[in-house]
Amino acid sequence: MNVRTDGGVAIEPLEVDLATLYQHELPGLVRLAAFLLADPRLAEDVCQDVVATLLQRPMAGIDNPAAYLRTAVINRCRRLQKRSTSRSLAERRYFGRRSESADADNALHNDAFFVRLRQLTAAQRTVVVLAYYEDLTLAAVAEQMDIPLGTVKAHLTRALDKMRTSTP
Amino acid sequence: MITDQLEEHLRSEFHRVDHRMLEEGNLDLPSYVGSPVARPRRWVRVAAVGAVAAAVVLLIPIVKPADRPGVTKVAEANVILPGETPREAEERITRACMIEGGFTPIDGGFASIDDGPLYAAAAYKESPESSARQELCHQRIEALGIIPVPSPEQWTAFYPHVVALIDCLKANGFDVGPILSLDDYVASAGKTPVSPKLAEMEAAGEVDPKYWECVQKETLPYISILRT
Repeated sequence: MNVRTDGGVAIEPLEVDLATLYQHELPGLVRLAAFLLADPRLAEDVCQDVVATLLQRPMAGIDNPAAYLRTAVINRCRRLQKRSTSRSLAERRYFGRRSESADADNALHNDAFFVRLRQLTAAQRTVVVLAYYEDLTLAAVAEQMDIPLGTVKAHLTRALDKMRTSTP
Repeated sequence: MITDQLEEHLRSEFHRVDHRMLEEGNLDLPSYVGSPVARPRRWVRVAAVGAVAAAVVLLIPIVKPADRPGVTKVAEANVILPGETPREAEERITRACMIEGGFTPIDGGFASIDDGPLYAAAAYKESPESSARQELCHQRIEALGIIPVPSPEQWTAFYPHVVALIDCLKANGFDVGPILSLDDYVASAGKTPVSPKLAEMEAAGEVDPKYWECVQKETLPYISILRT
């Protein structure tokens, strides 16, 4: 098993040690999901949901399980945000009736940066996170999101405009 | 703020919050991480149980054909010919009802208004006390005014049932007339034994020619029934 420079673990395709993979990859994925959802609490459970789903699928034959897992988390976060009803259902499922006061008690949830990220649309936030947190090129972001490069640029421009006006 | 500065600011903010999440350590993984089996969510478990129950209910008529209502009733009605299975008897009677009776039996149904006379007779034999069944037979009799007999050779086989039916009808206030040929029936009642459904089918050209062949050439016997 080789340790990558970014801290992730490269797993041999036919020797997938699921427990090791999750232990090494999941903390990073949870932080990525936290940014994608602009909600650190929801991120933990979304990632667990993805892991639980993948546990029931054969991983053999997947060249890069870590990348597969990362893509699965990104896709789950995007799908969750496509409709507000999906997101509210997910929140209800994960947290029960989460009260506003519970959110207010969560200092991380109320970090100014998360508040600003929540002002973006889901697509804009995804582009920003993939571009500036994951350090992907815009072409790679377009490929990851499966949308045209022009659309990625448009999302990024609007997102930066919003962030510019909200920057203290 | 120009774009380059904003991009740099965003990267630093991501870095800051990323470290904060790591330091605060409040993103602990639940205990079942790495467990080979994750307990399915409640709705998955409920759906699985429901699917199994539905499959069992749907499969019962397939794996136990002898228990299908129509087949059972045919067996109880004692109309199975030697060497004939209940299913074959049902199919034979159904064909007879469709051809001679001009009815279209509902699959699995029994003694409904669309069923043949044999079913109606057998229903009376089976449960003459059943008001629902009697009501269905009454509706059918009132719609036609007659009980057509499937075929001369089957007359003997289910004659006892018809007799039982006639007895029941008499007990329920019907005036049962004599057994008439078709010609005699038409002459006495002034109408042909054609149901509205049959007339509709005939208009659409859907009536089996054998029906008219039986009715017109063989002049099947009919029992005329008049309600008093």
